[in-house]
Amino acid sequence: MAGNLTHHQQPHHLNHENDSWKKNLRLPPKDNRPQTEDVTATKGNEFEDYFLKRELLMGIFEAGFERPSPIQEESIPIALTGRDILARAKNGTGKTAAFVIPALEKINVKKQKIQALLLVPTRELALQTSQVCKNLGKHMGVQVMVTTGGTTLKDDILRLSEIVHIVVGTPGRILDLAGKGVADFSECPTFVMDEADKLLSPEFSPIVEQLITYFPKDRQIMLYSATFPLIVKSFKDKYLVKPYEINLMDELTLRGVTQYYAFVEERQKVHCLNTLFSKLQINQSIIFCNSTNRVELLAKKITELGYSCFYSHAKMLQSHRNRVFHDFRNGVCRNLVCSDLLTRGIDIQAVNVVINFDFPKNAETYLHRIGRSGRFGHLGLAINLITYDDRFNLYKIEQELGTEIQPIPPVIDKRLYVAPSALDDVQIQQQNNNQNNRAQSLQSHHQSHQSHQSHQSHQNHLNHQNHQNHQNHPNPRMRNTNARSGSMSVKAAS
Amino acid sequence: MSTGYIGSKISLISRSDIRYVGILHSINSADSTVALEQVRSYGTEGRRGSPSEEIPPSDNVFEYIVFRGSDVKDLHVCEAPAQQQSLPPQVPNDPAILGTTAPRPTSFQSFAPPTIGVQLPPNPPNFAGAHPFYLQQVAAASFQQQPQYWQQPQVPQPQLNSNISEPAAKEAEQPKSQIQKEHSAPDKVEEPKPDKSTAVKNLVKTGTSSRSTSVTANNRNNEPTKEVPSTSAVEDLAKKVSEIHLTTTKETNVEKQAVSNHTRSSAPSNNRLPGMGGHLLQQNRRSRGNRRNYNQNYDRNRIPVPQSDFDFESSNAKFNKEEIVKEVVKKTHPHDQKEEEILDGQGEEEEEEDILIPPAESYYDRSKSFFDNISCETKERLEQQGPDGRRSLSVAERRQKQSEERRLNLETFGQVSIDGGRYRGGYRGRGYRGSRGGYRGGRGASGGYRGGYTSNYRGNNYRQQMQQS
Repeated sequence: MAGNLTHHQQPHHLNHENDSWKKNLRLPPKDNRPQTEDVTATKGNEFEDYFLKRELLMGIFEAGFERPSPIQEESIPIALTGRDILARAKNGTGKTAAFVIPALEKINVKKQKIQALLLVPTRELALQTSQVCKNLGKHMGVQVMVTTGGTTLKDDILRLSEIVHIVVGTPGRILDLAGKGVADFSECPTFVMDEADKLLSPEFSPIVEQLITYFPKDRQIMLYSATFPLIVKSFKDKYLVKPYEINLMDELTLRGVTQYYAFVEERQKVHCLNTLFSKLQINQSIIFCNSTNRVELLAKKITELGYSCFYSHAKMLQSHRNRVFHDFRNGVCRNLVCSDLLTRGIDIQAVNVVINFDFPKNAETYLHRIGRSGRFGHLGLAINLITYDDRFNLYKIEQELGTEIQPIPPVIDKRLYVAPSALDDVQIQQQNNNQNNRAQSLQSHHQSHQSHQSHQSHQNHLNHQNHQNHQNHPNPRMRNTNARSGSMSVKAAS
Repeated sequence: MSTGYIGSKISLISRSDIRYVGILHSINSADSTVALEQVRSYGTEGRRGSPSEEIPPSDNVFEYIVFRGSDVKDLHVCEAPAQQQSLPPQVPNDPAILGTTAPRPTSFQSFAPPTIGVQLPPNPPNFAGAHPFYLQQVAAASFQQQPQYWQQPQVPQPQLNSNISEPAAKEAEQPKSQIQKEHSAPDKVEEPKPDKSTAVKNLVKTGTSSRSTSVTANNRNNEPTKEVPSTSAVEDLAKKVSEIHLTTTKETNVEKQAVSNHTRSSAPSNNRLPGMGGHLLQQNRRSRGNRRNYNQNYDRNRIPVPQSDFDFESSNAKFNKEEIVKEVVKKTHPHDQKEEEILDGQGEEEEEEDILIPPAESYYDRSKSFFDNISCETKERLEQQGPDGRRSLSVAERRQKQSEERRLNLETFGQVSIDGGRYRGGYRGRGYRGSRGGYRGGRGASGGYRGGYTSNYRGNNYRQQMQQS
């Protein structure tokens, strides 16, 4: 595997003299699924270009990263200079590593102080982000601590009596620890907010503003999200010093995610979902409901129908939430029913279908929900069950996001959401069964790829041409893949 | 699990009277399933008592079938394990089987589940194919610990089904039970099917074999069998299976679901933990204690899920997105007579809605502003708040919202909440859920729901639990 990488990268970095260390890297298998321009439209930087510590580079490559994604290219060098950052990039395009890598680079492991705070809005996201930190920093000897509500404060206090370089967590608990003087941020130069708009919403912003007072005056603040409502502007004006703005979003929605609606009556929803389960080639799915009760009711229905499913919502014990998250990520179960608790930031690469069992009320929620599929530029499907009462919301969200949600066709082209390697077997059979239908559907799909004017192409604008030969993409860009899920595992704390 | 019989040749009669013979692969008491390999169907062999209903034997050999314990009517061992490892010699009686199946792989890399430990999903080609690297890790890390999840029916694979699902028709002839449970997923009702070449080919090709057969069952163990159950250990095995499958004897069809939940949950198992679907079935039972009668009525009230596929096309045809635009336009320009005429009868009932949609470019334009102006939770909340910016929902508003959700839940699920609104013990007691109790405030001593904020929720729950027991 190491040989592959060296061979692959040789032409690009003749200027990096001694690469013998790379031969000892333990690289994960590659993810060869096609990707969209959302992650492939890079300048062609290499991670070595940023003069990162050898130990950090090792962690980066061993986590399956090969080259920086667009947001990483923009963010890493600026972040390393210490400047404040306001960065906007689509869901699942590599934002986490875009701030974790510079944060790690700036850590002095010999200094026994907290040197970076990574603040996130949800506990699951905290677990996920801390795991990325640990993975990327595993050769550095960096001490990462994750702390969230729903756990014992005492354990955190004990933990903080030991060395901690990076703290990852949710606002309430961290303010608690800072206020008690247990977590010392007085020499912490780096303050990152992921899903920053959520952290700066009225529910969190008083906590965040208080938290900032525990930081030194010259701290670097970095904000990342896919959505930045105007409300963030006042925070920016107040706390950020000449922030460097990064905006990689020409449009709001992901190109790899195809969106459909199915018009249903409320009482038909379960029936409709059941049919979707039987028709779709779901690798893993996340199904969103609009309330805790409905999450449980639906999870029960799905189980009764004979499908495996997990569920998670804010009213469950944290230890249970953690286990669900951990097990779902590890593929123990195919379907996850949840509330908007898991709408943001959750990165499970195996999810290729998101179903809005209940249509969301606002565009922001919609955007983040459907961003759970199509991770890292891969393909995915978003299916919305729409009732008559949802029709204005449907219209509103389409308008606001500048996207089109189409009626679900009788046959959904699997190429829109199934990995080519899982497609090959299927295709043979499909051709037997359904030759004409399929051929037409594929053809029109390809045509839409070529004419970028149409609405379809807007959504399915892929940078892949070669379905059959996905092992050897003619375009080297296609191999620029972060096989992150392969290296990710979050320990369920309990 | 009694491993002593793994590898034995087992004869099993399903509730639909079909006899299967195969090699015992595993018994999973947690999931109440019995898995056989190299399975042949001998048909109903006259057990149905009516020639027109009999199902003939089939020459097909299915690599692997998982039977639901509750649907197994009779089971016994015909032959002790032949050899521990090598599989082909285990089916010495039928050379034809050897001829039609591929050699069994010895590792999971080819997707066939050789051991229980690395059981793969029924449709591993996708799962694995999408994430080769992912799966390897998963197989090592997770499946070994929790294989049972994959033994349950999983998401059906239309492609596979197209080859294998014919027997579903057969299934339909069988006694209609498990109404709720069965009709949905075609791949749950696989049985040996007439078209053997494709079926076998398919199984061999994909190696997909973890298929669950669920056939109907009652608990009469009254079928005399030719083979003699030789040892007490065999009885033990049979007992295991019958333990697995319960008490169903006299239940009516609809009741069966509830009862089977009841029984299955008696075995503590990982998929009964909170957050896993099975937990919700179990909880139902726990909260009710012995009040089964209630439970049954309760389950009767469920909304049945039709067996046929949902017809997306005709349903979507009832909905015209263009019409929304007109409705919106109508609202924005209420004096546009022409629009109103077109819309006659369609939008009138929506008069109270007040939606003004500004032109699209004002939501997000990268060239104009870093920030966007799309609808979001914050805005929603601000709109709900009063002028002081502090007001949350009034009691009346909250009640109205709750009653709205109850109505909706009833419509979607035939239930208001998972526990029928009566059980709020355990983890549910967390603080703010207290508000949920609002509409049930009249329930006497369970009161104090508003005290359900963190400070005293434990005591509150404790009281509730006491009440229930």
